[in-house]
Amino acid sequence: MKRNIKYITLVAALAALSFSGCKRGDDFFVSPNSPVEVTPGLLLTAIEVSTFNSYEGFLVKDASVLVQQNAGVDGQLLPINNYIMAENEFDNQWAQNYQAMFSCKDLQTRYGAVNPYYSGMADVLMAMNLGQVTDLWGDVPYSEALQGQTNYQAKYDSQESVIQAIVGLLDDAITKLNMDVGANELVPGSDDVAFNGDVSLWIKTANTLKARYLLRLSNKPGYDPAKILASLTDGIQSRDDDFVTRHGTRTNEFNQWYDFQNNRQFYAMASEPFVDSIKLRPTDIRLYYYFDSTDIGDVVGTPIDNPVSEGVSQWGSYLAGGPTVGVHIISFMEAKFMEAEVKFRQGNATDAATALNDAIKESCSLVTNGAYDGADIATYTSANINVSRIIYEKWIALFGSGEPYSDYRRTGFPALRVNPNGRLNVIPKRYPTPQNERVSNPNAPTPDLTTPVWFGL
Amino acid sequence: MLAIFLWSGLQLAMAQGRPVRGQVLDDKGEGIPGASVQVKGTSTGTITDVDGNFNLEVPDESDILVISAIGFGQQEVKAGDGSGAVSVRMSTTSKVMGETVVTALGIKKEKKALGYSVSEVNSDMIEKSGERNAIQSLSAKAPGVQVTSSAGTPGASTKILLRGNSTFTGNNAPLVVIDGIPVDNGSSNVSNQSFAGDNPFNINLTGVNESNRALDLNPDDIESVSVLKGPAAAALYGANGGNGAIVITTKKGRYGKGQALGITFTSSVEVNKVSRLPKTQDQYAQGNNGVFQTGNTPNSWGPRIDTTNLSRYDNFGNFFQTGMGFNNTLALNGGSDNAIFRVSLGNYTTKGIIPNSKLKRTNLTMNGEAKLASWLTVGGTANYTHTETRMVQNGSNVSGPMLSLFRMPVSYDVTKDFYDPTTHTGKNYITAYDNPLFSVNRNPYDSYIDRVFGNTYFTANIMKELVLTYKIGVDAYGKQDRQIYDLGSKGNDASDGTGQVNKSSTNFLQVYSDLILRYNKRFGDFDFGAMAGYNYWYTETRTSFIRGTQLSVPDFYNLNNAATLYASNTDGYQRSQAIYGELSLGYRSFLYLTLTGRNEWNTSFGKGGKSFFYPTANMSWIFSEHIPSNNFLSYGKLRAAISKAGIPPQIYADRNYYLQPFLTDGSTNGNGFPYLGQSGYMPGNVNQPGGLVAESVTGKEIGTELRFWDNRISFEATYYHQVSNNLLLQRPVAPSSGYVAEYVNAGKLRNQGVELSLNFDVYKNKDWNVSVGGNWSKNVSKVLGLAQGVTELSIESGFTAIGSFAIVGEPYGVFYGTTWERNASGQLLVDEDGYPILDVAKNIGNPNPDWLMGLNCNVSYKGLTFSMLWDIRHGGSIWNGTWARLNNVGRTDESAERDHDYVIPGVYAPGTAKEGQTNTTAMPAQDYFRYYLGDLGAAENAVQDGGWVRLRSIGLSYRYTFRNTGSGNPFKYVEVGFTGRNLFLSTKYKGVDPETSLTGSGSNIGGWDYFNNPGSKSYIFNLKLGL
Repeated sequence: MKRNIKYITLVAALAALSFSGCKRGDDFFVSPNSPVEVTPGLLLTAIEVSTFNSYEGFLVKDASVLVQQNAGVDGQLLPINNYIMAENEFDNQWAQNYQAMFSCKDLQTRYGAVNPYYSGMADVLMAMNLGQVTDLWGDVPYSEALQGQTNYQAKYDSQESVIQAIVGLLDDAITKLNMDVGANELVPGSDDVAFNGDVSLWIKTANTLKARYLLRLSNKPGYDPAKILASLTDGIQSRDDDFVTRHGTRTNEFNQWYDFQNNRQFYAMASEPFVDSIKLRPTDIRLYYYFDSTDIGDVVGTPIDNPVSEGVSQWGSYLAGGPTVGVHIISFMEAKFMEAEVKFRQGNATDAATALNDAIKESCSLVTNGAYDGADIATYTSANINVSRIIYEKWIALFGSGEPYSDYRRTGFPALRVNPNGRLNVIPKRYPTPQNERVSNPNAPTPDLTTPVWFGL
Repeated sequence: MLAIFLWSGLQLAMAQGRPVRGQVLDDKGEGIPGASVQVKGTSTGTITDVDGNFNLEVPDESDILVISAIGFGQQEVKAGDGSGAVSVRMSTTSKVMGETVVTALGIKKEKKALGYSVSEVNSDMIEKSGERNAIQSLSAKAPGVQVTSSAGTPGASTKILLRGNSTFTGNNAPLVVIDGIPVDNGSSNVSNQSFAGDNPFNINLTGVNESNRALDLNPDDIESVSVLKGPAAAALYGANGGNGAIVITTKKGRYGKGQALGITFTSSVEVNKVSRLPKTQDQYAQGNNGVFQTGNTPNSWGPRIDTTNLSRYDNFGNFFQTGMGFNNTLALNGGSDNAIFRVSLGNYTTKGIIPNSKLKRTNLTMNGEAKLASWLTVGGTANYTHTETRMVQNGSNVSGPMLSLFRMPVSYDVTKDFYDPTTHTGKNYITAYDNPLFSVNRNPYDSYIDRVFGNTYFTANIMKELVLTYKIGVDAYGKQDRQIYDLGSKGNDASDGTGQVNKSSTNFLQVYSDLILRYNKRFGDFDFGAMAGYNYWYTETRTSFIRGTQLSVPDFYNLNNAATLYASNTDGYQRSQAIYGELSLGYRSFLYLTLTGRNEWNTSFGKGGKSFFYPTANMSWIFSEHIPSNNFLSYGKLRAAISKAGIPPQIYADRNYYLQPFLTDGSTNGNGFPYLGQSGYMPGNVNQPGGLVAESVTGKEIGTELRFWDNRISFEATYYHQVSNNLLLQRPVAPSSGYVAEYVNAGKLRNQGVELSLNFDVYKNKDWNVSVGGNWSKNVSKVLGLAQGVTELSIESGFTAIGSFAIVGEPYGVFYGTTWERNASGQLLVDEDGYPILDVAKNIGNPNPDWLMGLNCNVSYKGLTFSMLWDIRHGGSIWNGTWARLNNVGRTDESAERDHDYVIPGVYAPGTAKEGQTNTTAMPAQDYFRYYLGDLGAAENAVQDGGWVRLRSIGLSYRYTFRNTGSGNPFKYVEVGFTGRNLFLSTKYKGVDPETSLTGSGSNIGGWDYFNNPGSKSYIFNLKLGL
């Protein structure tokens, strides 16, 4: 009997062990690995980094190949060079931009009412992301977008209304950023990696960006040059105001031109049309900052119709000099080019020429770090200036920007020679509707790549 | 409680009895040694001696003796007819009738009572396979089981699927159970893979594939494996039984008085060689357009070597080596009437076919059981494993040896200057890739695992018919991995030669316990059984990942050498509790009906989440009992089962969280957090609205088991139909909504198929034993539904050109990749220049095999045994990304034919001048191989037939059994033998061994080959001593 009791006690103890188990409380139900609530600063930083990445990634690299600043030699850039753009080519980029916009909306909803500065910055970043998608895809979802599970099938809005919305966002941003600092519960600081919390710089960026989008209407009835010039007056006034992407030395902080050249060497190289165009003016040493010289001691570009990598130049110090190189995605030089075009279209060729010369000089100085002032090529006058020359100079100056592709489609300049080996007989006028949107949203149209966007020719 | 003690007290008082002696004979009249003779309903028993004789004290003359012998099943006889002598003749019929198999929860059941299909693989078959990974040794041995090894390198993972994939994005791996306790083999839904918190890429496409953890088990310790294929067999495991279960029983000692200590020593030496490599051309040198270049192009489109003064190098021969392996296991076992034990010590050390790859595993196991009282048995097992592997990278990374080696032009010498210790650099034919010899020597990946698993249990016979069992088991391991990228390697994240060290650590713990009460009683013609149980199952994983970049001091890989450090960690916890029960009824030993049910509460459904119920019903009818004894059909059984098992969701998936975003397009490292010293979060891009229900697998199966000609031929056939419902998936939504997907129960998948197995004892007598056998199975999977409005779903992220998708109406996991434009009659369209036109991505192939077959043949004459196992796979496409890329760079055999232009067979596309006419426009050979056959073209070109006919194993052994043991001769037997593993392979596949997988066992997708490591074949010499 005693022995049995001993055994029974053993049994009961073991059984009790199985019932008590290992206590973990909420760790069974709530992830210990991710938070359910964050702060506006954390959202702002993430949206900014996402925007830097979008403005340095394939959306811009592919555009640079289409306008023949670069040649697509290998990998996924070679089909782009030949105007073969697969439907799923930009699924990631499309999703990334909309996710950044969704985060902007989250910030507005949760923290925007009592934090006008954060709210204003989120508006500008929303405009930047939305602007990029409408530039490349024309009609895109906006008014019904970003509603999560409330509406998984947003209707597409016309590009015209989207551009109006962008301008509206920037106006709102400017208003909020102009408010007194005391109106804020929380004030952005180091979490604003772009401008470190300096709202005056944000206001200038918002204005120049507004000018950029108002200028898209140059072929359209709504074109209002006075408004553009007014925005430019409130916009970026010098290189120190530029919106520059910020990078660091850790692997996940790299400039994406530098990173791409390291990981996918020889995929994109200098193009012959671009290199030879700059070489028409041998003193223009921007060429040697855009690209590195090859073994022969000079910068060489490869032809677009049969691109090769052997003996061809890669990106140089301006875009890919190192992991920390910042890219000027909204800049003083761009503001000057816009001013020149608007004034020329108004009939004010003299002031246009001045602005154009300023733009060229600014570009030369910026690109070459002051080594070359560009004075000898910035010699435009009211006699020899026209839209074609303005856009041509802008094409040479804005290397590493998506603007030349939008300018080409809007104006037809520069007069690029279509790749004879290209699958289309024009340069694609838009990007293909992303597969992930088409498959899940019955409202998504699938226009041909030869169909221009609303602001394009 | 008190009544029970009184009863057992009475029982003990009646223990004295009268002696009975007897002999147990086999069907040929020979005595059977080691047969067990037990008094039914008690623990009184003994075993027969070498001549089959036994002596026993029997309490009561009317008692029944239960005789069981390995290979003969069970038989019952009356203990006495007054004479005190009993003679039992075991017949082969009783062999069948008494067969037992291990089923779910480790419960042994008579096979005749089972209404579902169970396949057994015994230790003999495992030994003959020569495999050192327990899961790999099951290959081709049972129908309905698909085993895919990912490569022939040490530690390469092996994936096992039973009856196809049952879930989309959840875990498809069957449960692995050892001695009644589940152990980790990647089947847990608490992820045990450690990965960097800032790396969003599918980690299975590059780097090293994690081994499956069944690698830690020593196959020499396995007694038998029961494969429970469908939900009927595994429903008692509830939410973890949906993929079936592999139930492993380890070797134990044997009861019986007067046994000597059994000692077994097994030793083998294996010689491993690479089995198959892609065919490459050796005519043309490095370069482009016929011009020689080196250093900055990976291509072999250079000049004919014969027209230059370049040499040809046998890079494959200079790179691969012969690997040697040594396996030794020493086992001791013994037992008495009241206790048994077994202890084993094993060591397996091997070097692989790729330089500097190796594996070393040490196993220490012990198990024992003791009868503390006539009604109480306790026991336990404990296993300790220490595994160290140095594994090889594969896939899409520039330091993967195969990527660099296969693409290497024949004009370049892989051995030349591959590493200079003074400058810490290596030379290669292109600066962007690491030289493969540099990479295997200077970029090692080391993995160290210390693992303990085991259990303790007791069985208490509370009353004559009532048994209480409690078993609690634990599986715990600590795993440390380290990947080094040396200074000068391009394989680090920044691809800049500054070096990197990735360290990950995983701690895994699983606690599992079952408390079961069983009641069995015979009422007249009826055998009634009932079981009730409670299960507790807890899993936790804690992983951390540390990365150090920018190393300073050469040859020093401690993290304090890194200028930049990044760390992340992930934890997961899950618990389930369940109550379950079983009712079984047998009528006169020919008709059986069993019902089971399990109700389970699992924390992965959220706090206050629902519980789920998993029932089964199965029936078995031995119809041969109604047929008069005849020479033709000696046994016939019909069985049917219907069941429902489940698959649990990922943990922490019932609400939305903020996540640190990864911003990347796959071509760069991308940007992530912390960024410039700041943290950043965005809402997760997959909406998790909650309200999840369990995925369930509902199965129906019918089958038959037939034996002919006095059991010489045995045949088993099963047809099954399994539907997986409420499958959890990330339903893609339009990204303009802010989310890219939504995690919901929405999918439906069906698997149906046939499993056949046949064994034929061709000839058996005292000296000879010849038997042949085979199994054949076919599984057809079909995606019945995804979410509303969704017809296709990516299963895991893949490459841009190709993905693995679930497409409604198609089998699970079909390849989804780019295609060529064709007209309505299927003709290829070309443009004006004769070039084909890329079309959208479509379904381009099915990686699931059409059918699988295993054929075996065993011949033994006295002590000599010969065996052979053929493994045949028909169908099962593989995306040969390696071949496509090798065409692109001009390395394939086919691309040697480049002295002429090519015309693509097709017609001119609409919109061209010669629309509809046959294409006559030629293109240069280089373009043909790059843009048409190569991976600049459509992915559809690279999908190839992965079927094979393979000699899995062939073996010859001789065992000499000593007659006079004890007279100064300690040996009972000596066995020497030879086993050949994977010696012959016939396949149409144009690459490495088609049994390959880029993504390994940790992934649901299969059939991808992108610079996978090749397979291996082995020549193994064995020695076995029994003392």
